[in-house]
Amino acid sequence: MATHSDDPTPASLLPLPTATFHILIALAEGDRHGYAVMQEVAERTGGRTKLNPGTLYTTLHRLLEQGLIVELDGREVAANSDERRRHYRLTPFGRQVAELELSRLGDLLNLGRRAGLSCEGR
Amino acid sequence: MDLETRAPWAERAYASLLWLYPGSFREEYGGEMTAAFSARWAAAQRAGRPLASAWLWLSVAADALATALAEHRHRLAQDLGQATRTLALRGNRAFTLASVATLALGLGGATTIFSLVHAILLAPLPFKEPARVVHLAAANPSHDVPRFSVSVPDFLSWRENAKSFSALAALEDVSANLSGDGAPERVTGVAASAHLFDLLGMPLLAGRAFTPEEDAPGGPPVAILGEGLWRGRYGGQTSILGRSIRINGEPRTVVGIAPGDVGFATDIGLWLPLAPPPSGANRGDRRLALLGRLAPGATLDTARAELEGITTRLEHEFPDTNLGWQATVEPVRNWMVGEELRARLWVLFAAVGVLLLVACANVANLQLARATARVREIGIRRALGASPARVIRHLMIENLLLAGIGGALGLTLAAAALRGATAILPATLPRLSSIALNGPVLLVAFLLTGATAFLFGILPSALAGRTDVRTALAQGGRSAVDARRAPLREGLVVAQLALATALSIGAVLLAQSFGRLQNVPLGFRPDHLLTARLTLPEIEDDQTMEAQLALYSALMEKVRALPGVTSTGLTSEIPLGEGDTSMGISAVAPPPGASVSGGANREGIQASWRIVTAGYLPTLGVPLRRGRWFAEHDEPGRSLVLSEGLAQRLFPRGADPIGRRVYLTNGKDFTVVGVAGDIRQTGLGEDMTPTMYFSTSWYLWPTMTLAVRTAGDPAALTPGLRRALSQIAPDLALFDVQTLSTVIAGSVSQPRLQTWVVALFAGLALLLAAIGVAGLVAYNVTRRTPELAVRAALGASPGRIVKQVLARGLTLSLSGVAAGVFLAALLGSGLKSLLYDIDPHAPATYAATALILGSLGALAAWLPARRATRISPVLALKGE
Repeated sequence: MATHSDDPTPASLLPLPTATFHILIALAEGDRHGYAVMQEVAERTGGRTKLNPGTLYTTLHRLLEQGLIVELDGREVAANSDERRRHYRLTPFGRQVAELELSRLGDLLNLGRRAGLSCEGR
Repeated sequence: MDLETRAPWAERAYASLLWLYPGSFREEYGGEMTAAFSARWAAAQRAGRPLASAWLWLSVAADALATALAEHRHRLAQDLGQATRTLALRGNRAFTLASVATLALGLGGATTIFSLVHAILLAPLPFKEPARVVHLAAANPSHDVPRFSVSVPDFLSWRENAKSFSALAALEDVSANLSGDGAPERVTGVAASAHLFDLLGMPLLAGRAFTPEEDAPGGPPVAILGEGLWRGRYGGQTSILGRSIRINGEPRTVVGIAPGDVGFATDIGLWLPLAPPPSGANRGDRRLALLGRLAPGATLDTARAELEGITTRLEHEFPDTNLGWQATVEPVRNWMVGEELRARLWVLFAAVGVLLLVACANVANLQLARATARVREIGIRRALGASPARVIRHLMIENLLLAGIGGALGLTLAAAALRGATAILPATLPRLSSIALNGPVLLVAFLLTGATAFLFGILPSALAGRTDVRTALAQGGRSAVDARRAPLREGLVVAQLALATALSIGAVLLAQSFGRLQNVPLGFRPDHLLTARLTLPEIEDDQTMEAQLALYSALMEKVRALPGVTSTGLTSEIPLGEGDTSMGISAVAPPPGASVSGGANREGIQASWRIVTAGYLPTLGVPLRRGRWFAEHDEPGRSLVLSEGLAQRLFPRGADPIGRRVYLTNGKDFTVVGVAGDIRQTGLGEDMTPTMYFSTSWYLWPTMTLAVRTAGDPAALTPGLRRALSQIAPDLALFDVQTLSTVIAGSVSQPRLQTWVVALFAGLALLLAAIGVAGLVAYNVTRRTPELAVRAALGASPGRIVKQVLARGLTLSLSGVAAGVFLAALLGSGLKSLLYDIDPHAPATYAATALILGSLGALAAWLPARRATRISPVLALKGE
């Protein structure tokens, strides 16, 4: 629906909010439904980042509008549930945005290192 | 998921949080969100730490609140952005501009008029508990005097006996010459009871109010300065307190500074203590205005009943002066805002309401025309999955945006209009200084804008929401939808024309009435007349009287010697000026021991009186009908001149009044020496005023008016007049120097302004309605182009085609005008009280206005209809 003449360029979307970046990373590995994204993020961060449902779904909705992800046709019926779940897939545009963000963060990392900062300090 | 750990109550609680989100979002993701929550809830339960569950709730709720808000904001921004883009589209620009301009006119007009209505009729007065403040007056129904000033003894009797008031205070206008510290200046003054400010609940700016001792005869000479005089003459310095200033030649100590706006006046320069003499004053000499505060528990009705008892007792006790005299008690605003002004304001408000309705109809019509063109766009949106609710939401936001821009522009217009209005509005308008775009006015403007958006937007939106996708896409959205909308569009145009016609008829009636007012015979010649006022101290004895007479004679002699002056005269009040003085008069001598008061003498007539010099009436151009004017040899206080109408009433059946004796309410009797032509003293809309003229040799009023007839431009004489006075009395100041024509124009400033404003509104409504007709016909031509082209190709003459298109437009115009005439006839009586000598249902006015409007409607239909003849069959059919 959201095909405006003023579609965003990848750079205009940066820097990405942390939750958005996490979701893109989770989808970079493969198509997932919303709940799976949530679990994936929690797992990857060792439980430190737990996306709340509101943040998760409003972000997914926004990513859909902006064309970073698409919804897959056909929905899987979850076990033990009458909920139909939507699966999401990263678009090439979404991948481009995620990679740009990654390189932005990489640059930042290098800058910090060159300045003598250590990233082992957790 | 583990069924055991699923907690239905937690899910239900979470589901209720989802109501925070926009409906479509909830429908789309609600189920999954609840499932996601349940999973986390189950995990927290399994962990078995109560704190974890509580923490989960907290974070989930905060998250829902924040993201729901963000989602709403996002949607609104999206919709607004889309609405802005839609309205700014090249094809929509004309529509957007026309709608915004129309709405700005309607809303700007409505806001301007409402700010007047609010300031004058609705806004609370600057008193403590203003609803408890009342105005009291004397009334004599048997003499047709509905409201009159109150005498000092009556005031004291009322104050002593009435328990319905926690306080009663009296006011009297006084003129005051300030001198001593700078150029002599005449200021508007009010003598008031000591506790007036206390009664009103109005604190002084500085200093104190009068004490009861100061408000007694022979009390210490003190004064309170009004804010305007204090700032203007004394530089706003509080050091003036305690100092002595010279008023009418007497020193008085300044004890306080009063606020400029005291609710009922804004121009009072000086307050003096009233100091009513407890006895000795004439009970028949009525000149006080009375204000009261209702006591706790008292109402207007109980106060009226109590005063009726008191005035009845006074009638028995003092039949000479009080027979027939009763009292009225009214909310103070009724005293400040006359019935006529009230009616005028509501008529203006109704007129602007009609204009706003016409504007709404116009925009609604534009919307309908555009909605037809948009059917395809909406059909596509629906096909792409937008729900009817979503489509309606889009349209409503577009309408709100239009109305919002129109409203904002309207406010700007209103602000500009109000800035200009304070210069145009008659200075006599009460509460003029409080007119502003304040909170309540802005609130009403906001509500009007919303209501407008609703009115012009709801129809098109509802129709668009109903659009059937298949029809819209299959037929390109033309005929089917058009057919459904045609009656609606035509109805709107008819309604517009009807409203504009009714408003025009009202405007024409008002204009006719104003024309009558201006051409009413006055009984005197107001051209080439300059008037100027002068205040001298109150006369206490024969010496001051003689000195003042000598001063006036010397002044008039000097003025007569000025080049261009043909004659002069002196009067206590010019015609159509600010005040009127009246008294009972009878040709029948009262029984011994009684006077010609009230109902005691059924022959008594309440007549205006003026004190004049012999030269005054000739200077005004009033003809002498019988007898002679006053003469030098007249014994002071014996001779009287009557106006023709009064003479005929006193001495009916052609009896000669010259040499006859007449008896007045003040107990004196006079001999009639002359009969003067009738003139209008009190108002252009009033009848010729029965008037008696006394000679200046008998008495002088503290403020007298000099009338000067000139050969050339009267206004050019002003400097000469001032020089003449300064040569005789350098301490005195002339004031209200103005031509009599200006005075007369000023006396009708309210009807004039109202006529212009209603005419302006009617003109705008008419213009909008004409645009509505022309737009509809033009649209019909466009829509029927293929059909007309076929007809043209089949040999129909251009004339016949035009006739066909025109016929519909004419039918609509005529129905609108007819409905408007009917509407005007229904509402016409509402104007009755404001019309002078004009029947609110005058058939000729209705017919002429209808004819003009019908012709305009026909013209508006004909201009676009001509286009039909220029349709090229080939091009038109190709286009299809």
